[in-house]
Amino acid sequence: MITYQQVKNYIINNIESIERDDFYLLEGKLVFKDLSKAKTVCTYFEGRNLTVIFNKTKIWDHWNTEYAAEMYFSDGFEDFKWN
Amino acid sequence: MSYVKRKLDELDESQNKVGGSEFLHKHPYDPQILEEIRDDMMKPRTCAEFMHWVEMNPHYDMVAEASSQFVRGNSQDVCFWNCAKVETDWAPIVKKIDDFAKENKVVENFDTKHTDEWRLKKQDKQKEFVPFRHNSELVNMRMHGFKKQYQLLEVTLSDSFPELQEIANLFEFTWEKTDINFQPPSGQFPRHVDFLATPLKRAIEYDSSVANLPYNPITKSPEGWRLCRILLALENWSPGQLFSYENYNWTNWAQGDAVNFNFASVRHATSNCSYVNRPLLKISGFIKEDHWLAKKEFRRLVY
Repeated sequence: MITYQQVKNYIINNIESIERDDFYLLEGKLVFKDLSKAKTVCTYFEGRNLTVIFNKTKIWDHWNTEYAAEMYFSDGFEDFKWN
Repeated sequence: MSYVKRKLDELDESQNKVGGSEFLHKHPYDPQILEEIRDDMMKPRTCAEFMHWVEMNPHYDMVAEASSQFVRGNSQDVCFWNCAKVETDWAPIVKKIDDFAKENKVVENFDTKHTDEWRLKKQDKQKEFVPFRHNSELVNMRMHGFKKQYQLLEVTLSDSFPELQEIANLFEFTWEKTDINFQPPSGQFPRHVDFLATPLKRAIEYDSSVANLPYNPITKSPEGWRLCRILLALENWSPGQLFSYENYNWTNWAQGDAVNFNFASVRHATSNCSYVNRPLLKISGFIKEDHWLAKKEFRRLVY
């Protein structure tokens, strides 16, 4: 299984503008605080033959932080070199 | 760090760590808090230290959810897979389960109240088992309206189903515990992540060599071991019986089919929207990393 730890490390080590606290994991999806950063990550992977499903995040009253966008992967995810 | 053994009655009292539904975190959990718990979980600990960390965690009810490393994009075969086919004469076994359910009014009394319903028979030897159930998670489920989940008919801790225990033994687990996960119509168990804390706690408390092993937070097992849970269909699938593993579904199973799954990360949920009972044999325990189950081999087992 490709783990969140692998995906997180890849993103923060390979996409210059993204830092550790820019996104988190929720029910298998990456949730981003900032829309432009989410788009940066989405564009990065789409340019590398991954299919990315991108949506706005539903905001819940009981969360401490608002999130702008969420994404998850489909085709190409397991073939990608995450390490 | 020493590990303090808890007694059954003490643990029962302490299982709901948050002490009331008003203190529970709400689903969907706050992603930032989940991340903080997940990061903390990755710190090196022995198994005993890890269980202590779980029990003392201020976000105790969120730990199981935070422990998942699943990212959508992973394929079905890393979520769950067929691991065995058990061949036997199932008819007398199924009749026995049906009779047991009728005798104990398992279906008629199907309105779960946290712990009472989970143990149909209390036996002396259960003192050696330390049940570890995220009751706070069950309280949380009830807050969302999931008040009828499933019934657990004990196999390992009762003398009711010796043949099922022998079938469970075919899988060669260590620190094994087996139950019938019996879900009457209308039962629903919302998506959750397993912890297999009961076999882990039991091994920690009775085997210091396990207690002192490093805990692997990705496999959620002691180093060198794998905790494992397989599900064995005791009856054929009926339309309306739902079993999801993340974005995939196990369906159309046949009597004797067994599936293994990535318990450490994969959210799963069940619902019985059919009009017949749905019994599964649930076998949990430890296996070594060179065990055939750990290597994802498929076995045809005959009893």
